[in-house]
Amino acid sequence: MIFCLQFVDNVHIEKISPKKRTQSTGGVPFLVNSFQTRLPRTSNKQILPSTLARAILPRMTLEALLKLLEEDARLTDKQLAARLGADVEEVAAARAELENQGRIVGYQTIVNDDSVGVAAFIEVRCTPEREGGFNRLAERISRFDEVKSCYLMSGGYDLLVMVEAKDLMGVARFVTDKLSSMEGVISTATHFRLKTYKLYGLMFDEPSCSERLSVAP
Amino acid sequence: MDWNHTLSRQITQLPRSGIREFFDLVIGSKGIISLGVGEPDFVTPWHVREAAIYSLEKGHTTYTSNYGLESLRRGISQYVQDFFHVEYDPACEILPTVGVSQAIDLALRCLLNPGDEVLYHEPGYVSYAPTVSMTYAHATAVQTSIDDLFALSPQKLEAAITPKTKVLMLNFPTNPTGSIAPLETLKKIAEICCRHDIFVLTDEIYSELRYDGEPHTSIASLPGMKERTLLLHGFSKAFAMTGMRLGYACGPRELIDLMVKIHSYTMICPSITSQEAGVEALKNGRPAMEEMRDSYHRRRDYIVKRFNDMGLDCHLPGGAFYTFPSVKRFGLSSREFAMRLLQEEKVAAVPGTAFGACGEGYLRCCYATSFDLLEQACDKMAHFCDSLRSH
Repeated sequence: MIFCLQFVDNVHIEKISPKKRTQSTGGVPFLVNSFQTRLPRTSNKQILPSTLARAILPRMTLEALLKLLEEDARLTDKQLAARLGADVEEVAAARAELENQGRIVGYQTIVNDDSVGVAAFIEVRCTPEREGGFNRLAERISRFDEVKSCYLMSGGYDLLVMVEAKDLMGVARFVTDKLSSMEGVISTATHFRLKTYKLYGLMFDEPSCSERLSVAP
Repeated sequence: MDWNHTLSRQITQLPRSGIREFFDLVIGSKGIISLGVGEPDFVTPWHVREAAIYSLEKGHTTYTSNYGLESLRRGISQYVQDFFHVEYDPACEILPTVGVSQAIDLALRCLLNPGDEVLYHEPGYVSYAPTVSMTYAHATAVQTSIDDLFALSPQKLEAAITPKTKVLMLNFPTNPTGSIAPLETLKKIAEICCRHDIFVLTDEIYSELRYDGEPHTSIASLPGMKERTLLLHGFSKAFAMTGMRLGYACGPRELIDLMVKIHSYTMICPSITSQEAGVEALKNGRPAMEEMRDSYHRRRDYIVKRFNDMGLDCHLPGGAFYTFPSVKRFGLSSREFAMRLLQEEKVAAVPGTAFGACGEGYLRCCYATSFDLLEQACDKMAHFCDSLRSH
């Protein structure tokens, strides 16, 4: 089990306002499951270069902070400060600001559940709306607990939706009962995951590398 | 068998490496956190490994020219021109070797006659003096100290020169101290070498790993030095390719020609797999190399601060991935300190004396290990320092 940090690196992603999110999910919008904490944002800024966080820490240090957290989200502010040569208060403030801005989206555990559940990647073709394009439909689809990720894509289909369920029938029920029947969805093509090789930059079943000598010239 | 008669006296009398002695002690212990390694903690970047695999897949399993692959020499020439600002003709001034170690061996054998003298700076890499001895020449150490941040003092260098002095060996950034030679110092050394007609072997294997914000300057790039310098570099450290055993020598055609003569008799060429991996590293390896360098930089800052906080006086080394903290204030020799640290806290650091007598009072601690292990090692070392103080 490995902890990871998710942060948005794409400045073009359009964000949903916290207000809108809260309204449509009944007040507990961020708790997706017991392993995942979605951080609430207190403002609705676009995800642009984090000016305030940058004022707290130099850009190089800020990028280094994100890199360290990406590799191990369990690091405490004290550990981060020691590794970055910064003050604990500076790190805490920079991290809080990055969270607030939505650059750091949440902290998750990466679990290898290939042998436990069923996952599917669903290509969805849909009709764009006159105002908002695919956004409204994508947001509606994304709110289902079964949906773990959802992307707007270029190419032969519009949305790529990653779904997890207990078994094959769980995915089938989601596709037939919920997804296909949504207004605006034209067609779906479901591909089941057979094996995960790499997730969020981490190799599953990485063969161990040869040990270095304990002492070498 | 009468081994006294059978074995070479020259090699029998060669002292064993101090690092080897410490290695034998560490290898018998379990649960050790080692700061004693001398290589990156990164695996060779995947695109380089993949190029090596592809080379094998294509069936490239033959010898290459004694000069190595032309594509590799062209790549080295371009890289050296871009990074060191010295131009070498890939046709006759560059020789790929099995690591820098082989290049040093070849060069010394081509330069020295019995009785010649070679100067090198100490604390220094463990192989220099023995490799000189194997040519029946004499190696003389010029001591460096914390007063000069372990950079070679031009005054001390000049004082050590005798009529027999033929070669100066340099290694900046330095293993084991991480020190660098400031440009002004390098210029003075170059001027001394020109004046005394001394040839320079400069091992710049750690040159990409600099953290002081200054661009690396090779002595080979200074006026009048290219013709009297052999620049040694390789892939082991900055590209994390130690096991690939690939280095190279760049220098005057006359010397390279002679080195190729020995090379053709004793080695033929580095493995073609490594050479093709080297071509890929030069072509596309810079981003991964810079990422590794930045990671070492953060770890250097961390460990130096921790050492000074716990009472191990430690200068901020400008390069490589070594720190050289002093243990003098604890009243123990380097070896005693290292042995007790190993026995009581299970942390391995190499006594400074393994790198020359003037390393007494210091330890070489390599920070090319994971941050988690560095934290644990520092905690244990701080505990050890506290226990020494309380007795």
